[in-house]
Formats: sequence, structure tokens, C-alpha cells
Amino acid sequence: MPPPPDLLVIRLDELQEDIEEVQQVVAKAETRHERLKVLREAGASAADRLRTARKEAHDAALDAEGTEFHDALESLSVSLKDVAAQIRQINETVADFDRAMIHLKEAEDINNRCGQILDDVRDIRSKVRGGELSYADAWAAFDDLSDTRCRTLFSDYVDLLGGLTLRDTGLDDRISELTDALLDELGTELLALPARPADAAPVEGAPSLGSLIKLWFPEWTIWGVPLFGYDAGLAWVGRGTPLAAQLLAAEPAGSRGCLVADAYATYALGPAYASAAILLRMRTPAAGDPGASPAEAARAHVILRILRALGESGTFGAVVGIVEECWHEAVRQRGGQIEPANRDELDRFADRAVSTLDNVTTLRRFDSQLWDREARSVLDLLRIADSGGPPPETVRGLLNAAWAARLEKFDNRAYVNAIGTKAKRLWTPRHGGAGEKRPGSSIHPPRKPGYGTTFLPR
Amino acid sequence: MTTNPGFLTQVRQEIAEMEQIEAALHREHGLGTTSAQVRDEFSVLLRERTRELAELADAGAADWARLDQLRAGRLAAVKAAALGVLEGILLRAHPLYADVTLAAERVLDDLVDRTGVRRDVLLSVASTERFERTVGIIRMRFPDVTVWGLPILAHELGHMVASTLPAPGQSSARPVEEYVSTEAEMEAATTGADPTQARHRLHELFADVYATYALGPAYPLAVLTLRARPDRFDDATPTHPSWTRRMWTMVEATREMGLLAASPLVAQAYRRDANVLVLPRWFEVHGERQLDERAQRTTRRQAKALVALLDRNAPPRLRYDGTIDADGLSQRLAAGSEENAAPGAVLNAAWRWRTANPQADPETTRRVSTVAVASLRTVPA
Repeated sequence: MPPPPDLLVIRLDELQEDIEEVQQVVAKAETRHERLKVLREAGASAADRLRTARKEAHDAALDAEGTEFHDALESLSVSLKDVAAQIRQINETVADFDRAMIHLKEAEDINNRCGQILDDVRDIRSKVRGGELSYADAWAAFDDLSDTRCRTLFSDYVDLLGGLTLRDTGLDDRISELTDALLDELGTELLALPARPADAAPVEGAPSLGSLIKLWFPEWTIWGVPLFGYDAGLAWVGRGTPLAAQLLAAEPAGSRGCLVADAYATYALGPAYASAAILLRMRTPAAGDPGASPAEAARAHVILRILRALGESGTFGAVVGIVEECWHEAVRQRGGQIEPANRDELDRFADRAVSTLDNVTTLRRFDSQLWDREARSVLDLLRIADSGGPPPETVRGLLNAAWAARLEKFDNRAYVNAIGTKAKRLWTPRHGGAGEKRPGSSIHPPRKPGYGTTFLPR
Repeated sequence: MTTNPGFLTQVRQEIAEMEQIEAALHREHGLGTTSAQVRDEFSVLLRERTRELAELADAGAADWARLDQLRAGRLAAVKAAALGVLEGILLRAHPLYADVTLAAERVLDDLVDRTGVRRDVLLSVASTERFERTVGIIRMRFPDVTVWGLPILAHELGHMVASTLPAPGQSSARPVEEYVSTEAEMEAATTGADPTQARHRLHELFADVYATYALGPAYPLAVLTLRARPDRFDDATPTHPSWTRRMWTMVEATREMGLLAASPLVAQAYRRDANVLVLPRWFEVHGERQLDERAQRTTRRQAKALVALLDRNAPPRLRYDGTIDADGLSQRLAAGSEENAAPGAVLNAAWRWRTANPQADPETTRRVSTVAVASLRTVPA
């Protein structure tokens, strides 16, 4: 009687197959650019041929003898014109797809991870066969591999493919593209990818998508886009420049880079970041609430202090004032403390952050002057119903204008939705093929959980 | 015909002077941006006085008492006004005063335009800022050539606005005057105050509210820093309310502008002007003393009513735009950049800079003022 099948071997084979499947599908994902290229070239060729055909039909109509023949050629010419218009439309759609698609340097990252797991699978198998590993230890190693590293890999893989599909098809309402453009303005090489909601995704091992930031569903709205300034801040910290190191060293104990990322985002994005972070995300500290987060009070304090240093007057100051009043009122309602216990320390940090970030040559402070230059005219456009207008100079100007407009009638949901829609409509990508212009990079250091992954270290 | 040649000579001399003044004013090309309407009003006034003198000469008797009356009550004011105008003209041409005079004219022209009163004012100098009703002269303070005192001209213009601002669709109505009279009577009845004094004081409060409404925090900051007397904060005079009352009225007026604003952003901007910019400065010099409850109620009520008068009767563009980035403009002025901005924006930017830099040395303060004045005299394209 043959020995019963070795269950461990079956499981290891199965795992190996799954991993190889991931490798294949990720490789295939990159071929979508090739397929699109074929489509693009076919569209261009068809347009050329049609142009020639139309010219020939037109010339023939001029030379035609006999009314019937002439009319037939005229009719053909009109039909060809219609077809040309349809092909133009198809080509424009293809161009939209092309713009939304990104090239994945992450494929390499996932391949590497797959390769490491496959090595481990082979290692377990050979060690069991060689008697170097007991079955009990081999099962424990398998469980570890399967339950942690593989599970994370598969989740990322699903996120990656799902996100790519959503981006490619434009189902994310082009928010990923808008976020990419913002990240580009902030000087990072990060790219946004639609993903599952935070609670449903694995929390551990979050940095698995390399330079891709997860844009949680259903927050694919313009209002959450400024939150990615935080991820840009984390990326800056991760670069380990002397200035970043200096600022990290000045951070109050236990902040784990969080306040530096907040400072970076606030400095670079101005009131839009404060509006999104404080009004949409932060949990107000409450008296006697074990879940209350004093860290959030500290973060709000730092964000608001930095904004005051960037400008007190005009609409800039007014937006900050409204956010501040709103936050303080909510804290009061929950019986919490508005002033964080370590206020002086936080003030020193905030002041230090502004002076340090002033020295980062690649970063421009979004102060009240820049607000006036980049957001004021956009705000005027947003206020007028059904108005078109020139595209905003920058995404951060657009986001600031949109948030300012929202705060003007924050309790009118229809108005807020209309502002969001209009703001998205005003934005047009400045270059075709975001992926070609800014390929994702896998050279970034491991990321700490950010707004796109988990908002706060708890 | 009178038989007294001495009397006749003196009357004719007065007539000749009136004619001389008229000729001088009409010949003068240095009246700046003053409109023909103001010149015509001056002419009418001079002819009226000439006619009164001619009647006196034709009366047949040497009525010395009447001549004295005319001189003191009717002619002196016209001559003083004419002298003021001519002084202003001379100063306008003087290299030291030309810039600030042009800047002041631009501030006033802008205010008159935004108020919609269709009346220009003449500009001259005096030992302190004041408004003279005879022909509508606003006097700048001599020898100030800086930007810092310019917001106070808005207060002086406010006196003219009080007597000329019509109600919508009722060109002969004078809603500010009506309110001031009614409110003064009520105040006199309830507090025992002298009704005339109460009226004068309310006029001053209206002028303060007008300047604050049209120029924003630049005005309260300017009067608080340059004119208010710490040793007399709580003292009222027969014509002026106490500084405490005036400052609180300006703060309450700014808050009221916030309450009237349709947009929460605009409302927030006004609130911040009142609570973050002006009030802390006032507390700094005055201490954090509040008005007593009754005075507080009255101040709020009057500030609310005075702002409502402007809100109802003046064009919306008179209201200072609190959403302008005065901080940014202020930084650019401090950096020496001449800015092509609205006069109100320049004045606010300058005063924000000065408030934020109380320890600045006189040379720096002068330099910022010079840039601000130069920005003001630049007429936008």
C-alpha cells in the first residue's frame, strides 16, 4: 500500500503555485501598456487612411461625370467624415486610458518578494527531505510563511491589480491622477492607487506597495486628496536628509515621525491639509475616554500653529480660523482639553519645523501669498455656478480653493458635492501618460503607515 | 448810496477780495483730482458772499455792525477755506509733500468713489486732521509726510459722508443725520446728556465706524497708535466720546460686519480683524478692561445701527475686503516692492507691518512708509 500523500508537501506545492501565479499576473499587468500601444497605433493608422480616403472621394466627386455618381461620392465623403469623427473619439479615449496608466516599478518589488517566498518554500521542502527540519518545525515555518508573508503579499497583489484596473478604467473618477499630480508638485515620486478600506486591509506589513500610496475606498473624493501630503512628508523623512534628521530629532518623544509628516504637509499644502486632516480625520480628544488620542490634540495644535506662521490675514487666515473654531468646539463638546499638556514643547517644534522646512530648497511654503496667487482666482471660479475657466495653476491651489468654497456652505451637501465635481472638472492633467512621465520607483525606503494606509500610529 | 466813503471802501475791498479768491481758484491748475463740481460750489459760495456785500453797499447807510457780522460769520470762513485750498495746492507742488498729498488724494478719491456720494473733497493741511464743512475741505496733519496718518483721513471724510449720503431711491434723504438726531435725543432723554454734545459725539462715532467699515483695521490701529491718549482713555469731551468708547465701537463695528457677511470665510476674516488684530493691541495699551454692562450694550447697539446704515445706503464695494492677503502685501512692502493695489489694501498692509514690528527702528519704519506712499500714488492701470 502506497504511503498516504504528504500533506505538508501538498500545501507547499499549492503555495508555490499561488506565488508563481502572482508573478505571472503582475508580469501580465505590465503588458497592458503594450496592448494599449497596439490600439493607439491602429487608431492613428485608421485615422490616416481615412484622411486619404476622404481626399480621394472628394477629388473623385469633383471629376465625376453624371449626377448620380457625383451624389454617391458626396454621400461617401459625408460617411467617411462621420467615421473619422468616431475614430477621433476612440483615439481620445485611448489617450485618456494611456494617461491614467502607470508603469509599475512595483512589479519588480513584488517579484522580489515572490522570489524570496519561493526560496523559503524550497528551503523548507529540502530541509524536511534531508531530515534537517522536523515535521513539527516545518509545519510551524509553513504556517508563518502562509499566515503572514503570503497573506500580506496576496492582499497587496489584489490591491495592486484592483487598483490598477480602477485607475486604468477611470472608475476612480481620476482622483488617483489628481493625487499623482499633487505628489509630483510636492517633489515625491509616489503614485496613488485605489485600494480597499483601511479596516478591511491588513495593517501589518503595510509598506508593501513600495512607491504606491493606497487611496482608500470610498474616499476617492477631492476632499481627501490633501491628506497625501502626509505621505509625502513621511517619504521626505525616509530620505534621511540632514534637515529631516534634524527635525526628527526635535520632535517630541513618542511622535514617531508623525508630527514631522504633519509639519511637512501643512507647510507644503497650507489650509487644505488642515481642513482635510482636522475636519475629516482627527478624533477629538474627550474627557475620560480611553480611546481618546492626546496625540491628535498635539497634531492639531502643531498644524494650526504652523499655519499661523504662514499667514494670518485674508482668506488664508479665515479658513484656518474656521478650522480652528470647528476643532475647538468639537473638543469642548466632548469635554476634552483644547490645549495639549506639552503646548510649549509643541510650539517650539512647530516653530523649528517652519524654519527647517524654509531651508528645504525643493519645497515651497504654501503661505498666504501663495494662496492668493494660486487659489484666489480658482475660488472665484468655483463660486460661480456653471462657469468654466482656465485650469488651475497647481493642484494645491485647486485643493485650497475647493476647501475654502466648501467651508462657505459646509452644511449644504448639494453645494459641497457640486463644488467637488466642479473642482475636478477644472483640473486637467498637464502632461499625457502620467506613467511615462513619472514612473513609480521602488527606491523609496520602507514607509511608515500614512494617511493612505493607517492614519495614525495608535 | 451811502455818504460814508470809508464804509464803502471797506465793503468794496471785501468784494474785491472775494473776486480775487474766485479768480485765483479758477486760474489754479494745481487742484489735483478735485472735480469741477467742487470748484463750482466754491464759486457759488463766493458769489453769494459778494452779493451780500453788494447789498450792504447799496443799502444807503453805513451799517458797520452788519459788516462786522458778515466778516466774522460769513467771510472769514470762506477766506480760511480759500487759504486752506491754496496752501494745499502749494504743498502739492512742494517736493517734500508731493508724494504724500498725491497718496492722500488717491485714498480719498477711492473712498468717495466707493461711497457713491458723487462729491469730491478738497485737501489741505492743518495742525491736525479735520474736516471743514464750508466747502468740504479735509485737512491733513502738517508736517506728516508718512503713510501712517492717512487712514485718519477716512474718519474726516466720514463727517462729509454723514451729511451727504442719501437713502436708496431718496436723493434728498439723509439717513445718517436722521439716525444721529434721533439717537442723540434718546440718549439725552435716558442719560440726561446734553443733546448737542450727544449729537456731536454720535457724529464722531459714525465717522469712526465709516473709516473702519471702509478701511478695515488700518483705521483703528492708526488712531490707537497715533492719536489716542493713554492718560485720557476714559475722558469724553463736549465734541468727542472717550477713546475707550470709540475703540470699542470700532471693534464692535468690525464684529458686526462679520455678522452681516454672507460667507463664513468673510465673516471669519472680520472676526479675526477685530479679535486677533485690533483688540489685543487695544488691550496692550489700555489693559484688558471691558466697558460696564450698560455702556457695552449701548456701544453694541450703536455700532450695529451705524454699520447697518452703511450696509443699507452705501454700495457694497465700500465695505473693506477682509479676504485680501494683507500679510503678503505687507511682506512685499517691507521688502521694498511698490505694489499696484487698492489704497485700502496698501494702508492695511502697512499698518499690519507696523503692528507686527513695534520695535522696528525709525529708519525701517520710514522706509516701509515711503514704499507704501509710493504704492498709493501709483494709479492702477
